[in-house]
Amino acid sequence: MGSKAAKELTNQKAALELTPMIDVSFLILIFFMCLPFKTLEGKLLAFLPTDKGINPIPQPPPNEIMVSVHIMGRREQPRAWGLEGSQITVSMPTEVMYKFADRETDDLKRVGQWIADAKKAAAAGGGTATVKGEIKAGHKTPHKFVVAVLNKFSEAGLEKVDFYGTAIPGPQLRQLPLLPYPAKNYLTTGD
Amino acid sequence: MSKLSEISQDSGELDMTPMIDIVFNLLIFFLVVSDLNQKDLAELTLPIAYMALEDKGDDPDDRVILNVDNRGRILFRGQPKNLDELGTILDQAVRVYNIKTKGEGFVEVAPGAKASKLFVLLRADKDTPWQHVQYLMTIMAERKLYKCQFACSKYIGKGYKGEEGIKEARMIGGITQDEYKAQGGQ
Repeated sequence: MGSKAAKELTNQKAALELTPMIDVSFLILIFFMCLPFKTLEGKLLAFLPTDKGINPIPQPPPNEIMVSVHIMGRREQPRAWGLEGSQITVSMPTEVMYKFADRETDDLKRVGQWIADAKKAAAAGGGTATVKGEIKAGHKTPHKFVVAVLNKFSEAGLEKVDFYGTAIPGPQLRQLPLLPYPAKNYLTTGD
Repeated sequence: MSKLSEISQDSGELDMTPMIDIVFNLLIFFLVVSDLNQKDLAELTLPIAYMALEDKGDDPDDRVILNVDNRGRILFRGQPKNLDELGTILDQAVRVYNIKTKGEGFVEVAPGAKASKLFVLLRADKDTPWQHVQYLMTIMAERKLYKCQFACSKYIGKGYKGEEGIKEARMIGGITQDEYKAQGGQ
C-alpha cells in the first residue's frame, strides 16, 4: 500500500507555477516606477549657467503701437451722488483700478471699450503698424485682474501682449520655498 | 475506457487566482497612472476669461505645466519648488523638447536671437499676487521660453459660488455658459 502511494508521487510532473512570480515582478516594477528619482534632477544643476539676469526690455520698433493698461490695486475713488440739488462726494474703496493712458476706471467694460477704440484708431491710420497690448500690474495685484485685462485684449483681437515686470532681487530669493509676502491684506496697496 | 471515466470524474472548476492577480495588477497600475496625471494639475481656483480657448491637452513633452497657489507657492507635479529648482526643470524640459524635435525646438525671433517653441502652461490661482506669476515669467524668459498659456475657467463656476462669488466673477467680466451662448458663442 505504501509503495503504491510512493509510486504515484514519483509519477507526478514537477511543474513550476509562474503566476505568482509574474505578479511579484509586476508589483516590483510598479513600485520602482513610482519612486521619485530626485538625484537625477540634482545632477542637472551642474549644467546651469550661474550669471542669469532679467532680459532687458527691448525698445519697440517704430512700426508698433502699444495699447497699455496699468492695473493698480485698491484705491480710494471719489463717488458723487446728487441729492435734491446738492451733490455729495464720498470716497469709496475700489478693489482694483485700471489706468489707460491718462484715464482711470474700476469698470472693466470701459477698459475693454478703450482697448477696442485704440485698436480701431490704429487701424484707421492706414499704416502698417502692428498693434500690441501691454500690461503693467502692481506686484500685489491678484492674478484674476491681469487675466481679465488679457481677456479684453483677446476680445479686441490683440494676441501679442507684453508684460512689464521687475527683476528677481538677489540670488537668495530664488532659493526660498515661498516668497515673502503677507498672506492677507495684499490688496491694500497696488504697486 | 478507464481513461474516459477519469476525465468525466474531473470537476470542471475554473482557477480564479491568476485572473484575480491580473485584475489587481491592472487596478494598481491605473490607480498610479491616474494619480500621476492628476498631480500635474494642482487644486486651484482659476481666474475667469470667457475668451479662453478649450484646452485639449498637449503631449507632456510639448508643454510644461506650472502651478502657483494663492500664497505664491510654485507646484510642479505636486511638489513645491523654488525659483532655482524651477529653472532646472525648465532647462531640462527645453533640452528634452529640442531632442524630441531633432534640434528644431527653437525659432528665430530676431536676427541672432532664438526662442524655444516649448509652451508653458501657467496655472495660477485667481488670488495669486501678480509678483509671483511675474517672477515665474522672468525665469521662463531667462530660458528663452516666450510661449506662455494662462489657465482660466471659461465660465462662472467652480470657486465662484454664492452671492459674493458671483459678484466677484461679474467684476472681472465673468459670464455664465448660457450668457456666452446667448452672445453667439459655441
